[in-house]
Amino acid sequence: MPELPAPTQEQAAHFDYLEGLRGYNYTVHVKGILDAYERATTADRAAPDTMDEAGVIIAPSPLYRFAAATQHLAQKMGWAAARRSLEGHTNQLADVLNRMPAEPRGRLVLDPALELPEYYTERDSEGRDDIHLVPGGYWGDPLVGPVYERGGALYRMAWRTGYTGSPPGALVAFAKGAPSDDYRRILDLGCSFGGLTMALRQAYPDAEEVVGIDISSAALRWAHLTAEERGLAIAFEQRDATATGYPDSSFDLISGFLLLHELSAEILDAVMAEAYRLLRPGGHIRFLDMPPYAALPPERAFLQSFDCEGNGEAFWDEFLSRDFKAVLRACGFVHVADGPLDYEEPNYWGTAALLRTGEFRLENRWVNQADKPAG
Amino acid sequence: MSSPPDHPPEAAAGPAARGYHAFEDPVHDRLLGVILALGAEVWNLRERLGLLESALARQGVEVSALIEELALDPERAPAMAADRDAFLARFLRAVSAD
Ligand SMILES: C[S@@+](CC[C@H](N)C(=O)[O-])C[C@H]1O[C@@H](n2cnc3c(N)ncnc32)[C@H](O)[C@@H]1O
Repeated sequence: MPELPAPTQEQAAHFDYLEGLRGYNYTVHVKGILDAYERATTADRAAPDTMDEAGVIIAPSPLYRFAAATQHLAQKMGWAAARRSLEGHTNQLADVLNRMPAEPRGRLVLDPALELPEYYTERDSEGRDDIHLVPGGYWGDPLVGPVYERGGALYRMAWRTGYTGSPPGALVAFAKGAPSDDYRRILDLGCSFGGLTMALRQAYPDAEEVVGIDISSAALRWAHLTAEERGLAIAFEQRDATATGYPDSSFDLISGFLLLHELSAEILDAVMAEAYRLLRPGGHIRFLDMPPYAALPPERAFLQSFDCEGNGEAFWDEFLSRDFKAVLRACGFVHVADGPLDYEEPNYWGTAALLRTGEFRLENRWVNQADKPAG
Repeated sequence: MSSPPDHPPEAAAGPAARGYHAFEDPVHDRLLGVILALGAEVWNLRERLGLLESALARQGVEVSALIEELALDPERAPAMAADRDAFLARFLRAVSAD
């Protein structure tokens, strides 16, 4: 990725503080909540079967409220701190963002006429917090790339060291895990800053084309700059995953990372129908996202559900309560399968905002995979 | 003192009531926000002071041992106690103010 301006001592101290605050919240408070839950359910009652019942035990406790409020506030403070550390450098960053590579290996195709869907732009006016509590979400801020780069490293508790592995090892492992190792055309839906797209490019160096699409032009620009800097030939195109405009049967692997939970049921159905259309017969889909509530122990499912209200994830509950495999079958996909991603990563804190004790892996990485019938 | 203007209850509750809050009363979330922000400032000051001592030491000015000495100096004790009391009075004024 293009280099970001160095923070001042005060900004660095603030980042350190926020990482420390969150680390403490996870390792002491969240762990304390889970320990107290275990004591309560082994001592005086049978363990609940559902996350709602688990929530009845957990939610009223002062420790839960304190941990939830701290997580929410620290998240907001983190994005604000990331943005503030870049604000004094907007001219320099505008130069970086506008300096397109002279001889690109891939390409960036933006569509200024693309209409952004309402669910994407209207959250704040509904009184909801923006996605992940980032002011402006993915689209409203030209600095979104740099802000995510810095804020994301902070979220991963690694702002000083950067996130080890680039792209992260888990994404490479996921990309390599697709059923065939011989794909010609690969599509990454909702590619954002290109994390998975770059992993796919590396996993399938012989593929004819790897394409990443997203509706955020600012995110695509950052993805393009990053991929070019790494010498990866990727086409980044601004298109809506519900109606991409590509011809039928254009791809033989369609993938996505953390896209599914960002979409309402209605939009998700449309995206899956579009993926089916775009796939050649016998082609594969493979998505990496969060596990459904049903796959987790009830108390963890309850803590995972925090993200919906507490982290600005409007469709989180809807997606994670849904039988996504049934959705795929209804679209016509076969060999529908799901399960945790088999990948161990030391020092990985986790993804769901309140389930980051660093000790339990399943809750963070879940694979959904299916095939289009060979015809 | 003028009395506060009349607001409908929802408006008085402010943005915190519209957004996420973990405590029943969103004011508590806001107070925690103030405490966490203060924590950030305190950490920054502590770090900067530590860095200042290290920077001075690198220039050959050893102040750390002198700071330890002054902290226990009986002659300075009354003045430090007075400073502390004044600090506490300022800090906790809101608790007893009517
Ligand atoms: C959590 S991010 C995905 C992260 C990304 N895949 C990575 O590897 O880092 C979700 C992305 O979905 C995009 N998105 C939301 N709705 C979309 C749509 N209808 N079509 C295409 N992209 C969409 C958002 O702009 C956002 O960049």
